[in-house]
Amino acid sequence: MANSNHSEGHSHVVPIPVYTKVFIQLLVLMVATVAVAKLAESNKALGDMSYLNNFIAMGIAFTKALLVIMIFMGVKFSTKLTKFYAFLGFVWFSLMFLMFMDYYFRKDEMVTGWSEVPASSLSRSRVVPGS
Amino acid sequence: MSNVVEKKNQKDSHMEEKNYITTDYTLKSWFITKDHKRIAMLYLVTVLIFFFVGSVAAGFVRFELTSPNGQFLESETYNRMFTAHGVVMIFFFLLVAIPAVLGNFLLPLMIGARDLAFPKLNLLSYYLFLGGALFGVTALVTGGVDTGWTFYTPLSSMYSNSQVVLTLTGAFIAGFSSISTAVNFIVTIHKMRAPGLTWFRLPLFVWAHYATSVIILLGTPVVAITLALVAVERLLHIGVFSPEYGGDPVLFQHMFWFYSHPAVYIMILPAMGVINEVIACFSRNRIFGYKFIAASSLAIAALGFLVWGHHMFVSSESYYQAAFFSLMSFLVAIPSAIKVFNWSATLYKGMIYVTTPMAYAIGFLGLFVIGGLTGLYCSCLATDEHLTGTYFIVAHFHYVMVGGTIMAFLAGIHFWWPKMTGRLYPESWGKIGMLIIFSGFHMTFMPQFIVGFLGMPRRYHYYYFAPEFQIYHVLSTAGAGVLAIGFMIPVVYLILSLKHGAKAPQNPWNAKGLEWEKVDAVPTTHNFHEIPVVNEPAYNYSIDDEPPIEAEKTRLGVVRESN
Amino acid sequence: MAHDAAHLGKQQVYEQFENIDQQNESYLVGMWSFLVTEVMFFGVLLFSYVLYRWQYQDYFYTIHKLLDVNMGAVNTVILLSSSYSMVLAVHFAQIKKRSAQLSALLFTIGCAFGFLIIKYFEYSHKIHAGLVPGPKFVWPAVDNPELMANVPASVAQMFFSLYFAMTGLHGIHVIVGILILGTLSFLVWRKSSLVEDYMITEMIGLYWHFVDLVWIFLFPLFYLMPR
Ligand code: HEM
Ligand SMILES: [Cu+2]
Repeated sequence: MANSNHSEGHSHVVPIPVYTKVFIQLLVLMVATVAVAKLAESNKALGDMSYLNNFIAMGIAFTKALLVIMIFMGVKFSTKLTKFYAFLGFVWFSLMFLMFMDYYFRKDEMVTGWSEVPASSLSRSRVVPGS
Repeated sequence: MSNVVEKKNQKDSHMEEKNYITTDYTLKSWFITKDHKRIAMLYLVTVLIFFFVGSVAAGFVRFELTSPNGQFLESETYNRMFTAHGVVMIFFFLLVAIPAVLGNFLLPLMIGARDLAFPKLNLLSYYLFLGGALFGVTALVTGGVDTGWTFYTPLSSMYSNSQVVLTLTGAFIAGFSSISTAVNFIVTIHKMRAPGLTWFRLPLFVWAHYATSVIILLGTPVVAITLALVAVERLLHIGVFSPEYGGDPVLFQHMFWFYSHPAVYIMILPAMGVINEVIACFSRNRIFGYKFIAASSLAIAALGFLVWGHHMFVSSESYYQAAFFSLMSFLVAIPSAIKVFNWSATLYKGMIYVTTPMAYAIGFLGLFVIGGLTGLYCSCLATDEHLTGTYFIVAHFHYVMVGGTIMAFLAGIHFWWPKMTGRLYPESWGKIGMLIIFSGFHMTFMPQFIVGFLGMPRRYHYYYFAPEFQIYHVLSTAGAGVLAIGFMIPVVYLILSLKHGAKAPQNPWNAKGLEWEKVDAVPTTHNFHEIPVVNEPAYNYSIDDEPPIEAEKTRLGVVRESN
Repeated sequence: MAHDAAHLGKQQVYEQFENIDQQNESYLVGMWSFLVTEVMFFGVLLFSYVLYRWQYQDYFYTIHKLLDVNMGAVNTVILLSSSYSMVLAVHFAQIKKRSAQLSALLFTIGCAFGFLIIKYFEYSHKIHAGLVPGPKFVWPAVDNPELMANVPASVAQMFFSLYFAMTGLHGIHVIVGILILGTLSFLVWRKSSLVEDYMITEMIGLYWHFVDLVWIFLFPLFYLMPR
């Protein structure tokens, strides 16, 4: 293990055209996402597109991210171990969304606590640190 | 050490005769060292200083509580005292004590590597720690903090009138020290194992540190940015937790405990790693259920991230979520229990030698069981409504943190002292010290369970409303005194042993493991003369082994039929 | 096309390692595990954003009109280009074309500065309009007072808190990136032996792509899809 004497190809040099292709794809996606957003905003004739727009924008963001991670950051060409650590953070981050459960359920409870929007922001006087 | 050799050979003989301590005596050589063993020693000295600072603060708190009306501190000062105690002990002692000292020293030795993967990063992590600690100390001497170690908003972000920002900066920087250590450990464990040292031949100490490192990697940045947000909120009024902006202060608690519950496992997992080594060696038995213990470390690391809500049962958490977290907290006790059962099974039919490290390890078992079981009282929604915010909680976590982590730390320090310094410590003093610490510990924290159950709130300065609590507080304070004496004993004899202790042989305990069998009595800078090849499982002990030399006299009177 | 590791120029093997493959992969895993911490780091802010957006959907939708989509879009293009030039820099480092590597690095740094300049204009506009949360917050925003009058000032401050916290943290990463890339280019320019090993460039590249990655998410979240 420690002496795996053949590295699984990270040392391979990726030819430039591969990168160029990805770069062009990224630019196209970028233009697409802005175009969709502007369309959704201006063209009310198509109805309320904002939810669709959300999905498209996030979908495109994920695609772009995946392209960058896989090709630019070379995860596609790397060992399993590198792949594992490359994705661990993203997987674990999604755990944080468990917190969301709290806020979601609280809506139905007697004590909603925080969920009302304060009508105004009469700022309470802060204690200025150090005074 | 004079060599009457030809100049040409001098370099070689240097390599052979000088160990990592004697290669260079200058102070500078210590402060810019990249040797993991020297860095471990730097950490050892540093964390002990912080342990002392934290203990002094605890002393003030305990003394103050001997009277229902307080002894001599202002209420404000009292708050700063217990915060100082908590912050220093957790951020600057417990979180680093075992990984950065014993882990740093032993990981490369145990896996047959010449050093950690990134020695410079390791040194950097020490200086980050020192830097963070200096911020912490500056905050202390310039007035201290009064928010408790948990820094709850909006107290910390708006109302508190103390050195919150400085302390947060310190914790933030120290966090990055942990992270760099964790990165180093992960890479080292994955990539630097000696030939033949497969995952299931690794000592469980290594597994424990791997799990710990993963927790640090996934958790520490969360708390770092959360604390940074509080600091930014104080300084620039850019507030994500501000109720006046429609924000939720409880979100802070979510974020904080998302890290800080796993953080308790950062403190206990390495301790469990130490216990494996010590128990296997002094019961001359293979660890029972090796794979279960290894897997339970990883299970704890993963499940530990799913229970943070049990700190928020009364913080306006939704019922459903509270129920979920209660259930998960019960579940997380299972892997901990697996370990305890497996250790007990390892002792069974073993050849038990009660040396000082073993005494600490057995102490650990008992204390951790009490601490863990009372954790279940806290996880149960109905009981926790009553117990939360009382001294019961204080007692719970001291049983796991002091009774668990510190006992294991002491076990480890004694066990590997011969390897670290090349000297033997006095066995009888060792056991006396252990007994005093053990009894002092119970005296201090057992009364806290009772008084907490009776309703004494934690972090309160006065309890004139219930003067009948005084007896428990007085007992506890007396216990703290005993504990303090107990802690001083090892410090004294260990320091004396540096000069007067007998020279340690290469393997004083007749123990298994690369660090004992393949390394000099005191390791050389590059640890191994040649990289070892491993072809046997870990803990290849047998009760027919030669007894540990130093321990022969102290064997428990278990007689096995001789054949 | 594929070269073998052995042909990739001189790589010094440090004494704690057995061979070059072990060292290279150690570097990679180390860097990636560091990036795991960065993901969690930004994750906290991202989660806070999602939470408050969910809580104040319609308000956030209205407020986001104060941000300039075009500036955001230009910045996205700039960062994507810098990522592209960064991979080229790594490529040239691998095949030991030092001067090409240097120009690619300088281009990357140029992009980073371009990004910061545009951010500077965005920030200074917001600051002048009094959109920094705190006691001096001006609401309804001067840019579009009628529309913004429906939105409580508290929520607007939350939006801008998140905006400044997230883009600010990202900006700090860009600045750090400039410092690191600058040092690297300087060493490449001086033909220092420290950077002969292409892994150094590769790892700095990973960091830089991560900075790009964060922006790939920040851009739609703040500028494009606030409902
Ligand atoms: C056996 C598994 C464990 C369970 C089920 C458990 C459960 C709990 C629960 C439910 C609480 C919250 C009580 C409250 O505030 O109302 C708590 C507090 C605490 N636990 Fe544990 N625990 C366990 C193990 C540990 C370990 C191993 C450590 C440390 C090494 C630890 C350290 C702490 C600390 C520091 C607190 C108090 C935090 C504070 O509010 O300041 N626990 N525990
Ligand atoms: Cu907990």
